[in-house]
Amino acid sequence: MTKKLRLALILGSTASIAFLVWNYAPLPSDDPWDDADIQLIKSLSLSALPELSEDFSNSVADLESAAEFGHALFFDRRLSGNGTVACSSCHKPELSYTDGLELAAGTAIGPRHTPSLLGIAHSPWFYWDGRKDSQWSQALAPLEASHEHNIDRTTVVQLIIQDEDYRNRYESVFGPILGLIPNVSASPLGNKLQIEQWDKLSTTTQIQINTVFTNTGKALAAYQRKIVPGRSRFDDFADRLTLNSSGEKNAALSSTESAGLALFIDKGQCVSCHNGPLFTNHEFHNTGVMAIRGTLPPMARYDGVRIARDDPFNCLGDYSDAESSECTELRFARDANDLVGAQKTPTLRNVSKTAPYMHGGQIKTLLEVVQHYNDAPTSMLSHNEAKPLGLRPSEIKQLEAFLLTLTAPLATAEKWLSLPK
Amino acid sequence: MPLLLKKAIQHLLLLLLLSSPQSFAEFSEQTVLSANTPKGISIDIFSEITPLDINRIHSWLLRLTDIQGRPVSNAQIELVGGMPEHDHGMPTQPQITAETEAGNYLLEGVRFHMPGNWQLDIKLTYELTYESKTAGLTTETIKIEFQL
Repeated sequence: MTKKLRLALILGSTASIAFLVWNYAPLPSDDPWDDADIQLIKSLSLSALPELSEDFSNSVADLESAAEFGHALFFDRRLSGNGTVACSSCHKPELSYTDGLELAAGTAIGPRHTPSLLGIAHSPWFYWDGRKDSQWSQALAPLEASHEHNIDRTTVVQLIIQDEDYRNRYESVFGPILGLIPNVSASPLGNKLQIEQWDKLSTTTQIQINTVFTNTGKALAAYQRKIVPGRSRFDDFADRLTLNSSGEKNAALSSTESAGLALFIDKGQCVSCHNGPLFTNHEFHNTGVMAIRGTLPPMARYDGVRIARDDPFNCLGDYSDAESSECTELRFARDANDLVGAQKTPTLRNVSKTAPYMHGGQIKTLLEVVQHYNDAPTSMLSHNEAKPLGLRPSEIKQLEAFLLTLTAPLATAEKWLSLPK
Repeated sequence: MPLLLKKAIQHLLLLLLLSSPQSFAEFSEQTVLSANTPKGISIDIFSEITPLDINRIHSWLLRLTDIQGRPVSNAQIELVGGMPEHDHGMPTQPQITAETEAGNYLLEGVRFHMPGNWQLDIKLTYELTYESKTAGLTTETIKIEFQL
């Protein structure tokens, strides 16, 4: 072997080893955690989750009989135009109330990915673009959406009147149903015929229909307030962590997972938006996710906040139980240009069960999601708030390992997780 | 209970209810943030929640005093907040909804949604007075930086 060849071999193999080490050898974690780290990690534990605050706009939100009525409605396929779609068709309890699909499939394929419902009652805004400001008002929209339940509000009200069990449940929660509700298909948001039928109704009848319809949403919301994440390995880790114990072995997370947590709260900057015990700030951010195939990039929250303000079923509307002074989020909602293309931060609780990811299910795996944030591509519309992270492939794997520790059986009582008996 | 006594108690309760001062949220005794304008107006901020925290909508009380410690009344106050590092604003648009007493302004709808460096730009328009004489409307903008 010539000297030159030997030198080339040595240099080549050194470079290859260095490349492999740089990309795949895990870095030792920087333990022990300092005071600020510990405080931040503990703020992410479910032990730090505040009690669910009152929903002033829904006076039956915490009423057990309302939740039981909502439970029955949530699993009822009769609440759809073709009798095949219930809320639970897309929000499947076994998939942490998601459906595993890129885009929701109701009576047709919808424009958005089904979001998880875990702990969502803590959020002031609903939908990816935050176009609804209460859980009960949100629950009404899919019923009338042509690609989801595709049923009109008058038919929903008729179902409740004609089903003896539903009528009894309804009246025990909300009192008697007033007026003579016509047996027609009518809605101001329906097709041409349904809108015509709606316009023929007297204002009094329209109000009576809207009252029963919005109360249906309030019962569905009372049920959904029961859907809460359970304690995961991460929560055990966080709760055991103290300044004195941080050097000791904390068996709840492996060294790879713990290194992923360190990246999550520092170099990865994930905690900027995925903060608090539900790993979400319930807010809206443009993170440069590509548009859903075949569609223009959406205005997202920029439009969403305007739609919420104009919604007759919002916190300030006639069907809300709140005083206007209690509608703080709606009254002080911001609508500036930096909300163009901003989608809602989803919870990371049980994130391993809610693939695919993003508002259109555009990204299939968690690893690819982390890679997306590592690259921080230019946004198709407005600007990407995130900046490239410079993570090594081994660090991306560590972050993924940490995210997998956030999965646990729901804390929701078993009886709520399937069709009521 | 005799009907008369019952009525008397009801009246007493009603009277108590009506005579209680208008209730506003409780604010911290210590300021959470404060700043002075170039013209010597002090802004002291008291918060409904202390220490300041993310993800909770709440109110602040802004106390404005001039260089001689007198309250500054009838000021117009505009507040815009944001995170320069992330190139975005606050999730809410807080607004002054009342001057609860001379120089004390109620700011509703305050919420922060990310840990990190925050910046507030406060624009004040007020009437500057010298020795009881007004010197016309003055506008000043000041920045307050803090970390959450």
